Amino acid sequence: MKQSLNHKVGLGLRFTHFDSILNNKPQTPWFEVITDDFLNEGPHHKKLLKLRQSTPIAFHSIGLNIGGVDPFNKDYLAKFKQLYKVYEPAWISDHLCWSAHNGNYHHDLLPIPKTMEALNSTCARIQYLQDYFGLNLAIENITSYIDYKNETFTEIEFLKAIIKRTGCKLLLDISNVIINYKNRGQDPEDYFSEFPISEVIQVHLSGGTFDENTFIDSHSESVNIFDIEILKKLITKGLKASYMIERDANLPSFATLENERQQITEAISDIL
Amino acid sequence: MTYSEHLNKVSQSILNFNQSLHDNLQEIIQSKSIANISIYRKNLFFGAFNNLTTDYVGLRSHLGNNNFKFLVRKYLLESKIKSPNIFDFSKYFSIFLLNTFDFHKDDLLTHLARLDLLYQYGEVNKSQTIRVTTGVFAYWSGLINKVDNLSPQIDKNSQEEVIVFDDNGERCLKLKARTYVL
Repeated sequence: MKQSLNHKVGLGLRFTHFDSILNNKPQTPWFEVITDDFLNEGPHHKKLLKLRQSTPIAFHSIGLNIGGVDPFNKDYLAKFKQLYKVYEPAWISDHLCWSAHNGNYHHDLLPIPKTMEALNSTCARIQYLQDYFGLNLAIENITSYIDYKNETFTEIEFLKAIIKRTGCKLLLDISNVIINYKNRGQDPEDYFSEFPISEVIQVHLSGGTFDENTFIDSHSESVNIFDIEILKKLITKGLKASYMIERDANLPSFATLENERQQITEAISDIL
Repeated sequence: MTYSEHLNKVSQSILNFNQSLHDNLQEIIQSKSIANISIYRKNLFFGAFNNLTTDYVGLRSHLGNNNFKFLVRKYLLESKIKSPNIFDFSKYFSIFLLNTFDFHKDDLLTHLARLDLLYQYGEVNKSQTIRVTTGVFAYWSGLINKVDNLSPQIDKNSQEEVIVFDDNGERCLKLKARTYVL
């Protein structure tokens, strides 16, 4: 029987924490696994299988190139699907971005110019992937450091149009929204009030840095208290999803990260 | 301008990070944010650099950080990343070193890179082996174990066979007994 992960705070699985997790069996109710970390063979697969026996996981991808125009890489998709079958994640998510063009891979999350042509292309690709995997993907809003000219849609309009056409779900990255608005000297309040929270199945929280007058989504610090307050506000407005801390750089010990996770769990427990 | 052309302009401005930002970005990106393309350039470079740093421990130790960075930069600019699997980019670095011998003129680089790859990705189940010039493996082992005042003692007239094996869950390399005299 599938266990509900709603309102459960999880963690991103990182290789350096693997042994600590398997040896200490922490209370972490679920883990988000970067699918791209498991494309190669190696002992990490055995470890993930062991973890998977006791703990639910979700897949998070950084390489589906949803907003790109290059043909999908068939080998990549085939490997991805094989992993999906083996590990049975609760869902698959990737970003509302493009990451490759003309056969060159950036391995980064690049913003989509929100035009009608981009919308048509992105929806067709999401639909293709959903058919390929036989599920509804969760699409995540990203941090954008550039602003395109002549866009037709706002991000919220773009996301709503995608949901309407494809039936996909959303992964709301609260920290990305806040960084985008801070960098533009604006208040994110309107974004959050317009965000279609009924479609959100997962939320990301992370801590960034400030570098050369720009807030950077570096995933290198503890989650900012302001981000947690936003999460609480959204929960009171009806948000019912799974939450997690993303930490990729300046990694603390697993025990420290788990402690932060428990603090967020406690912070939201009052309003559930 | 088509959507594809739009992406192409942005992509090229990031990939060619050794060039100044082109004026033609002003057509599609608001002037205030054009300079922020440098954030994506940094992400691209350091993503590649960090990945290669993890995989090529011996080679990096031999070259030192600055020379290693210089070679990564050259590799990234000339080869670009051609796979959605970042590990592929890492694996092809040793081939790049082989193909650019005329540039670096250091035979040792390719051998060290091959040992690093065997250590990271060699197939333990198949007892994968590689051959390197005699003395390279001892030098590589010293680099990995951070031995001070190392200098390679290379005998170019013979080769050694190195095998990857599993030692209680730890990947290890060791010399196989046979030595091939050229």
